[in-house]
Amino acid sequence: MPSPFQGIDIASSALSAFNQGLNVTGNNIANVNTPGYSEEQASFQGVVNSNGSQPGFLALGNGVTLSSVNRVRNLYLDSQMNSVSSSLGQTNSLLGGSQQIQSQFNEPGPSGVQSSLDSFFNSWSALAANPSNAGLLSQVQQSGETLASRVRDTYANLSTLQSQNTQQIQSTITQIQGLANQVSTLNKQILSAQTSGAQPNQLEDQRTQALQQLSGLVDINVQTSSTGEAIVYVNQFNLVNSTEATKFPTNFNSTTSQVTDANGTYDIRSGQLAGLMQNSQAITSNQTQLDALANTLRTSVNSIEKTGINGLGNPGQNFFNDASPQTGAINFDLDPAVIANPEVISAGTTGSSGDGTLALSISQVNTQVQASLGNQSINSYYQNIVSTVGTQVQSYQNQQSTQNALQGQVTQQIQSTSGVNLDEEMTAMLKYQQSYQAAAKALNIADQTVQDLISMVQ
Amino acid sequence: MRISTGYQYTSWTQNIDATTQNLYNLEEQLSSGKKISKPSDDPYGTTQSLNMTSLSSALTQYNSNLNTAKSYLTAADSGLNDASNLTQQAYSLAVEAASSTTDQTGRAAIVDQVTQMESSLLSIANSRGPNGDYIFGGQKTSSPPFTLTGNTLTYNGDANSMNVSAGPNQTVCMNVPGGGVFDKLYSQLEQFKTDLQGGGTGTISTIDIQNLQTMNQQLSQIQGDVGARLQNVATWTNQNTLRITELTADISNYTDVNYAQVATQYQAAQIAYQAALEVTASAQKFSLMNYIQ
Repeated sequence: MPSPFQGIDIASSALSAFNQGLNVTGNNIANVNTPGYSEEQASFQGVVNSNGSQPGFLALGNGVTLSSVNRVRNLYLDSQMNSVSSSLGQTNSLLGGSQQIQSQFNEPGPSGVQSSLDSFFNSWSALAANPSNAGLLSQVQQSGETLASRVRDTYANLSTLQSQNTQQIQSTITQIQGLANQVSTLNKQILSAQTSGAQPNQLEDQRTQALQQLSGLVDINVQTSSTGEAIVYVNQFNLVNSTEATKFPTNFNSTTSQVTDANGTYDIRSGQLAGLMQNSQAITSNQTQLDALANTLRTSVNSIEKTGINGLGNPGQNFFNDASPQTGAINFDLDPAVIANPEVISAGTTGSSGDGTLALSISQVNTQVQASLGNQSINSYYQNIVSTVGTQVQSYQNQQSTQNALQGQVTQQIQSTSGVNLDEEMTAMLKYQQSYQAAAKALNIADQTVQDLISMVQ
Repeated sequence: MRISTGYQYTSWTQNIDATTQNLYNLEEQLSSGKKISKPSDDPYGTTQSLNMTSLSSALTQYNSNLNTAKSYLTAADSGLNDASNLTQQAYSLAVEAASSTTDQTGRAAIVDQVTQMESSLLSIANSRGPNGDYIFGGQKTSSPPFTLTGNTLTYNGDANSMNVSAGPNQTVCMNVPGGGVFDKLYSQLEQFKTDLQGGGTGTISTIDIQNLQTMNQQLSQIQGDVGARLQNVATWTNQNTLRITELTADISNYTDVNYAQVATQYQAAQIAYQAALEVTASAQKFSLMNYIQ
């Protein structure tokens, strides 16, 4: 005969289990807004009667127990999310960087380099028609100064962007290290929790979150070890191993998109870090093009000017400052003598007051093909720089749009599997509440039967 | 597909974000009047706009140059006209002097007239243009090109052209170097005077009349050339003006907002934004919690 108290045992096991069920539901509701939270599900198991294997006994169960609280998570979706986050992180960096480069150019409009190129060459054209006019000589000097300063300033602003970008790279590396350390700490905490028999659902959620954030910064490959630790690789570099987080290399090379430490060189292919390194390349490329533009302006105008004689009767001299080798856009300016006195500008070869032959030649330079600009004219070379910058921004905008949509899809799928739905939780609460009520009623009745039994024997 | 509560809110927020962004972009266009505020708005359009603006400003400069050329050539034309009249007058006097009806007294009177002509010629030869330049000295425009030493008019200028840009591959020469023209005419007038004073009608009829006839032709030719250049100046100025008008319209097509179009798009964007807001507000009302007692 079964124990008279078995009814009480069974009912109280139910009360305990359903109470815990309510707690699990409560926890889900509490964490509805927690980022990265995976819905928990209570898993109940019937308790087996230890006497149930003996012959003659009916197989009565012995109540219910909460066997586990499972975290509902699709690991494949998590790894997809990491890869999408890397791409998105890279594109966001690229878009931001290219937009900043674009805003240094001020085109189209009256404040950009194109407008100053136009004014500069038109001023020579005007001088050719009235070669000894002091006002027109002054105009050539001033429009030259404007052109030089716009080219110089654009270059300087790009240099500032470059150093800001470098700082961002350094801070990204710091963030990567921080997240790697976090993952390693969580690895240890999860291992010790599992060893002591607990189910560290929240810790695992936190680790998944940290890995997702890390993937936005740099492309990672996550593997799970046999003991459940997350092993993280960044291409050839082992960032987190089974015992610790290693030191992420702080030496970087933006030209090759690599980081280096004493043990080797590692590629960075995606994530914010890759995007920032590509930004650095883009800034350098634009600066190199401005250098070519400045040097071509220097060479073409100076070489014509030096064949002349100015209105003071002196041999023609450099219009733009020159040095050997040429210094590009960084200090592109007029020759100091021209800044001091526009009358040293030569309009012609003879020094005669009506000789504007050189001014005429110079006025035609901006549409002539230049070998130093890859056989493009100054005008089309510059316009190409601007159009490339604009096209880059447009293309990154489209990429961002696509990748945002992709990330949205993966998010939706993850949320569909692991997200908390309040209506569902409400229903679960009703279920546990009613079950609890029923179990409490059962306990009451079981208690009554025991009391009846006891009072029978009095 | 199972929808979590968190995802519902995320998707409402994203929709409101997207419609707000679109609305903002259209508002910017309407208030600035510009379709292109940065190259990424339309990279191709930006290149076209830069190129056309460059060309348009160059054309404006060409027309300014052509205007300068016009005043130079007009001044030259006027001077040459005066010289031509002078030559014809001398020619008539030569014919008169060579005729048998004129006696030495008459010829002496003609000498006085020729002396006066020489003086006018000097002043014509050293004509100045509208900005004070000496126009008949080639490129030497800052000092008088012709100087009188005794009875000889010497040319101190050069034979160089003053060329100005009239178009992308076009130049026009705006001056007429006076060397070999006014000094030659002056020496012919001197010769005439000498022959008049000498009394020999023979040389007057053979040499002087011949000289003055040839000089007349030469001046006509030069004037014809100047007239042709003035014609070109007028034609090119017109062409450039027309081209500038075309370019202005083209640039506007690329860079300026088509108000009717954008206003319509704006209305649609407002409706989309409103719809996103209304959906969010009304969907939030439904929850199981409202129905549980």
